[in-house]
Amino acid sequence: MAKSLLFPEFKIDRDKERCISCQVCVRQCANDVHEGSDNEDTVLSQEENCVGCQRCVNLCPTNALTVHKREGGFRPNGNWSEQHLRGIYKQAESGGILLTGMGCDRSYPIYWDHLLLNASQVTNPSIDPLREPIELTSYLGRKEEKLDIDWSGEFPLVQTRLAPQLELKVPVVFSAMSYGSISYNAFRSLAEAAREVGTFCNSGEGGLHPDFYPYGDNIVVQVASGRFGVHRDYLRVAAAVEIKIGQGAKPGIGGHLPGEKVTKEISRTRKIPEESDAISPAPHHDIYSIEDLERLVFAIKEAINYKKPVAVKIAAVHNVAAIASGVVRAGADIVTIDGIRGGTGAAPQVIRDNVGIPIELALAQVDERLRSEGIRHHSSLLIAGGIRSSADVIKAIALGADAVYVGTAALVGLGCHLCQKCYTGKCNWGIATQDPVLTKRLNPNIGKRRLVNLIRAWSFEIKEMLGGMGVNAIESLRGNREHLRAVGLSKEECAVLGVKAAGEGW
Amino acid sequence: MKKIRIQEEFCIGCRLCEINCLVKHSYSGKIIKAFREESPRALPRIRVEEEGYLSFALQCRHCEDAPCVENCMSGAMQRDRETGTVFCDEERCVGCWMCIMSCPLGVIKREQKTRRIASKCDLCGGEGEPVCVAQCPNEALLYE
Amino acid sequence: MSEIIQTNYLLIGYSVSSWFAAQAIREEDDSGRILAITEDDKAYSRPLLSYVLGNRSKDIAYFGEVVSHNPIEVWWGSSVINLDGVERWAELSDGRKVEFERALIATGAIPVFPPIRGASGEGIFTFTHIDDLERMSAYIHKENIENILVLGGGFIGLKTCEALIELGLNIQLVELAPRLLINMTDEKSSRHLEKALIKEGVDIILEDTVEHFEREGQKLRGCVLKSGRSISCRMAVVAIGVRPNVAWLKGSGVQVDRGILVNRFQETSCPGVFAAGDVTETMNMVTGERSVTAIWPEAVIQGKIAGKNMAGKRDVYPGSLPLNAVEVGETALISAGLVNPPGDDDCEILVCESEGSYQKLVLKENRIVGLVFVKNIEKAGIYIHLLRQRISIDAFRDKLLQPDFGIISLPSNFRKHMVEGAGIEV
Repeated sequence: MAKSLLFPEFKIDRDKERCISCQVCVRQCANDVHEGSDNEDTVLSQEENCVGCQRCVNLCPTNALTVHKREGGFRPNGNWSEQHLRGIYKQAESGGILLTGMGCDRSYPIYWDHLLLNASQVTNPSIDPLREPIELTSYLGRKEEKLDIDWSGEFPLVQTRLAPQLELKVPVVFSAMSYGSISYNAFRSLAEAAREVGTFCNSGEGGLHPDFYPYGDNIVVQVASGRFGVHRDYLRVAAAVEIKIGQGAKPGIGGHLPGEKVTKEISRTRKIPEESDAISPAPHHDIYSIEDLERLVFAIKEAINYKKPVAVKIAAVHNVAAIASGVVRAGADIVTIDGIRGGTGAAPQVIRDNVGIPIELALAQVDERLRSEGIRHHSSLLIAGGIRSSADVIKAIALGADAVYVGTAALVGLGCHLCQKCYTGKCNWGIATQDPVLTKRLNPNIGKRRLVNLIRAWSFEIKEMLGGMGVNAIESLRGNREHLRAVGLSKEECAVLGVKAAGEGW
Repeated sequence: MKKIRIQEEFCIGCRLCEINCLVKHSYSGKIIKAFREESPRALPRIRVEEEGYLSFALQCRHCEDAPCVENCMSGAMQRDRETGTVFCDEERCVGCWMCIMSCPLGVIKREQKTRRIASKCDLCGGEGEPVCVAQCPNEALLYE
Repeated sequence: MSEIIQTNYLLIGYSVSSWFAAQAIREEDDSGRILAITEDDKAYSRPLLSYVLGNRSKDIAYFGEVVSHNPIEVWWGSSVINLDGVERWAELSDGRKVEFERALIATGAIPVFPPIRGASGEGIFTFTHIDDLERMSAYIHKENIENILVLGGGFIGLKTCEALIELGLNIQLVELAPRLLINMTDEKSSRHLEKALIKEGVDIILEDTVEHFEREGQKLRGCVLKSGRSISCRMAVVAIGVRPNVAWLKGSGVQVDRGILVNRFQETSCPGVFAAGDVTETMNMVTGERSVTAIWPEAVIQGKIAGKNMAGKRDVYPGSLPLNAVEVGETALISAGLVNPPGDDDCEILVCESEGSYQKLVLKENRIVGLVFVKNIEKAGIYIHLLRQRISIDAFRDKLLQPDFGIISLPSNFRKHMVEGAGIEV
């Protein structure tokens, strides 16, 4: 094989004064970067294998290691960036599609960072969350046009039959990550944390392992184009069912779990033979129209006796508002929209980085469209793709979302360092892998604790921000764009977002 | 009595427990000194065993009917009446290795100090969490 | 009429077996009178003798816990001269008579002293008693001893050598057998030990023994070996073995062969009279043969079992397992069970050798029956445990003696039990 033109992406600095040759780095690297030498009491490093996941740095007991981006490899060029050059070298050598993991890492504008929140001053008192209750509970599902109430008895009675709802103690849900794309322990961490904080996690399209059936009340199960692991009990055990049409990281294309990841337990969960590739087609082959979607939505509703909400997940693409309107009309109780920065376990890099639109714009447009059509209350809006903090959550809600999905943030909470090598199956943090040596590295008891802490911390912050705005319930903030102002955005962007420029009053 | 519980399903085989144990029982108690300057280097009193993807860290279980205590002919190997910890009084140990022969887990070592003595887990003196537990990055060891 | 004393429990001899018997009795019987009779003036640990001589230990006292509550009575400097195991009384050297309900005979063993010409007189010692220690120490200093002859390359002989090496003496070790520790070693492990001894300056003479000692007046001058070689030394230690101290039992009704015969409850032929430790003959758990296994761990377990049965509970002795350890310089050796299986036995031998280290396992019918380890001894306890528990090694045969053999190699349920259980009772 000809010599590769690529050179190491990372540089490993080992402080010889501090290194004690304890070999922890050697034992922790799944990419065989570090290597003990037999004769001498030293450790060597093969930098070309390093993915910059920082596992060795984290575990080095003497802080002898630093892993950083290797500087000066490529001649600076405003047009031909390192990413492009690397891509070309790799493809010239392999002839294949470039694969990647996690969400789009390009520097497209992040509208959350251009939106600012309001606060009360003098004329409208703020609320101190330490002294007064602030309600974070919200309900996802179809809301009624009006309620018939019988006032004749001692107590008023609601006569209208209410549609099934998901009750969220915090407006943050863990997004769809299948057992297969993430490890059993990662999934367990999510499921246990969801139960603890009173929210939900999502099975992804990989079925639900029998061990997690007891967590069903806090799990949303997915029905995707591959229909893996979908059966009556799967649908019935869950709190809600989500039909996955598209994914923000790879709109328009399907998915592929390579056979080597289909272990015994995964085969049991997905109901496919061990070691066989699990291929999710790009479209659902029985859905070519809104009417087809409606048929599936109601088929599922029949299967679960209309007892639980059915969600439909679509990627944020150019005509998202019209599509969402169709989805609502097809009977979805919840519409999930996933933006371009949404994560994935594996996707072609060119798709991940170039297809779809930012969730902020999509959300604003969908909310606007549904309101103007008078059907906003028919469905709740759950948005996903790049929520990084409690500020992003509250801005999303002010922009019109009922709640948000977090995927990447949850994985980072579990230890992910965004090396984007999920597709290799060699996640050193034990998250995106099925290798039993690696999956052990994520202790779900720790994982759960970290996720619970994260959500708890966010909810404290959300309460502080709500209180500051003088709002005492998260549902009162939904779609109230007067609480948002834009900075550094063009008129068009402000118009799409439906947000006034900073400095404009009511 | 509090014991170290091993959760083998979470042992990641990093051996930081061995390293931290060695440091704790070294002369200086400082990691770089303990490894690079002290001679003879202290020995870890915990052993990580590995086979395939399975691994766990094993140290003295402080057995209720500890054979090492009964078979110690000097009485150096003894149980702390308050904490229940089985430990070796290095002053009295003569290095007859009766304890090594008796230990069904093979967790007692010969260690060169001023003379060779039996060295084993002392639960870090019984003050709080032993270092192997406190420093395990994945909580594969619990002290409860 | 001499005084008659009555006791619930009489312990004859007060060393390790009696200590552990007393403890076991106290666990079952909080208040019964326990009376111990011993010739010694204080309790001490016999195996420490050589370590005290070699200055590895300052103290000969046993530091372990003997009886934690309701202490027992110990009559020091006294001995039993007559025992009636049927009528259950004992006569003491001072004429007093003790009537007992249960008695434990734990009078240990005494050194064998061969009838060699010139052996009587000063300069020649046996080394199993605290008095020997004091006399030897004094003699070495007083006579300024530099060269010393150790007769017997058995366990006591080697322990004596360990100590004498620490004192910086020139040692000549004479052993009749073709190797050291004849019952504990095989050819190869003995060679390792010999090498270590030679490195420490010990002159080893195998397949030879002392024909007679030569004297200059009272003082020892040297000896002539069977081979005709003459050796000059002014001090010698005779360590050719010990035998159970049973002569005084004549007429007691207690059945004796080489040692006291006991059943699996450690009870002698006289009901109510028990025996434990070096004085007994027990069944070897590996070979099934009756023998005297004069080692500390057996004294402990026999004492415990005897004590428990004396207190009215039932506990069964699993049989004896000869095992021991020696260390010369850097070379440590541990041996247990059957090291040299007889030729007609269908035993399998596993050996692992590398520079300076030697490990041998003797297997029979898928079970470990013996081992000898040199240098890498730290995991010997695991193998000895498997031997004692008669665990079938089928499931992990190919891992035996591998460098990473450990608890992890054992079947997971057994392993979990060992690690997680309250103790190691299995």
